Amino acid sequence: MEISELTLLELSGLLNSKQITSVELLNYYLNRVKEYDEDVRAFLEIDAEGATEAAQEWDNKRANGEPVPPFAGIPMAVKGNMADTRMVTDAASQILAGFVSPYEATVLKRLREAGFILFGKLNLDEFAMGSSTENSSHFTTHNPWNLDYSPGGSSGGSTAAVAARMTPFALGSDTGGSIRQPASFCGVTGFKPSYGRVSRYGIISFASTLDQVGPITTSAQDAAIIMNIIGQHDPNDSTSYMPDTEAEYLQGIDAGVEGLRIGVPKEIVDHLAPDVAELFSLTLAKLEDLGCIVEEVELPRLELCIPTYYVVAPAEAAANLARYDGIKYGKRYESESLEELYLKTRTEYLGVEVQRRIMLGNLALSSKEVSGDYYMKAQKVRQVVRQDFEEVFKSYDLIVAPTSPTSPFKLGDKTEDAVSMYYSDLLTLPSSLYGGAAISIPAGFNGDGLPVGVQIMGAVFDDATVLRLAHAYQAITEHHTCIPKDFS
Amino acid sequence: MGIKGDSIFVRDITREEVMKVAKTSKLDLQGSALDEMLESLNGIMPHINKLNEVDTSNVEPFAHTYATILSQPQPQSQSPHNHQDDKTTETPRLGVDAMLSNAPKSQDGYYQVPKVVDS
Repeated sequence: MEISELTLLELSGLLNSKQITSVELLNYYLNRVKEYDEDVRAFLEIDAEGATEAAQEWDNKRANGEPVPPFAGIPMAVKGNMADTRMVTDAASQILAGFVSPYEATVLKRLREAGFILFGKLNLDEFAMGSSTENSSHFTTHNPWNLDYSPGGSSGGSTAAVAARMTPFALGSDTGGSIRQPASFCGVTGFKPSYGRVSRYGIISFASTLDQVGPITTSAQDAAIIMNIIGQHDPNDSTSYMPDTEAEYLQGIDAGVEGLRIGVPKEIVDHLAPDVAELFSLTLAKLEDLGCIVEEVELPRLELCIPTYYVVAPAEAAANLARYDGIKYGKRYESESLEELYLKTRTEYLGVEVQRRIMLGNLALSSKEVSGDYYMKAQKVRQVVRQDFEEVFKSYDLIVAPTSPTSPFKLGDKTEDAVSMYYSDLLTLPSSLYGGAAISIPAGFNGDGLPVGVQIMGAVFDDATVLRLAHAYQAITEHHTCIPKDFS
Repeated sequence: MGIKGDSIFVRDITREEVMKVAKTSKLDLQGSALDEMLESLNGIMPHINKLNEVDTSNVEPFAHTYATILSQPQPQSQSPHNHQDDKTTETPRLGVDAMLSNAPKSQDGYYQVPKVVDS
């Protein structure tokens, strides 16, 4: 079997039984990047030297018979908005060009301590704002299933890299669907944990009440393995969930799903493209084969997630991005006066979509006196949406829907129209807004051979049940094991 | 449907308002960039108006995911916001050099900016 087809447990087995060294494994992936990334363009930077050094250290320890963590020596790559101390962390924005963080994100520290080796940073929409990775200030990433198509976004670099098996897994971040939608477009597994499960310390902030880091993998089981490491309480993040000192995501993943009650929102039907609708109904049939009870549920205010999100997220982004002023880090546009320095730096080095969201956010935040408080109104509607979902979760264990209303779109197809781009997030926004866990798993391929994903949403902090159903589905299907033919 | 209590007033925004918000946002939007921003924001505003479809006059604004958990009784040890356990912890300090390492301009251990006070 090719290494690219192996799961994290299998890779760990090879390393621990000394059938392969960590340096060999790293070189295998570095060679794949060399061979394939010219076309896919997922990687922003590679740290071959630092990674080789780390791999060598694990190899030495293993050779000397010293105890090592089970996953020691497995390479990984992460989205370019996560701070490590060796590579650039610029969130694909010119305003942070060349920024090397003086400290390390908690998620990266934990994975490093668990033995994983960071070897690359991956492309994204600037500051994670976008659904196609076309808003990156560096270059556009291509979908490995068809290079003319978008990998989705904003974690498009992460999902494309996993799809082309240029890394065994990656980390992404999700604010309104930025892990799940690109996972769906690239035919990989993308997990957004419940808000509070994973530390945001060292992740470049976009919208602080929505941002979550999660694993992008080739299976739900691999996602659970990564969650066991990163899904724990962090005192450095005040929004981190306190009881998570020894949270467990992997144990019980095999327990089966017979009798699980699954709700399918009936409001989604009108929004689905025919190819997505067809594959979705096949997925529901599979869930019934597994013994799940699948029923229609009502979420009449589902569509209100869009305006809610497009007030809350930009308002929080406007506040978070005020720090980029050309003084403390990143690029500066030299000027005679401080005011001009601020204006020129931000106007010159922030991209159009980022500027649009800052403007929308500040418009919402400054509306109070004349037009009523948009942000507060949106947070109230968000509460209503949360109550709607909470009500459904009283009678159902999980909610299932497609991840994206459409299959992947061509690069350039949607960039001109901001509103239609926002609508592509319709099905991923709810769990971001109410804060629950959600996963996108591959559900098959449309007539053009492009992947379509299905999404499983759980109640807040019920991450384990979400992973359990995803794992059960993957145990009887093979979509998640498919590799694009030019990359296999 | 009609506007219900607690609603917001959403209308087309003007060029002047965009200029004002741009100033607040420290963005220097002029000419076609300003026109495009105006058009794009006015494309989004009607969607924001949909928030008025819900009467939220008796609804508490969403504050945190924890609210869901906190609304249920639970033992102290399980409380997600166990403030009694909060302790002051010593965070390792990074030092001036590390913090200034990314500054576009610095001198003598300080960030350097253009003169802000006229003599």
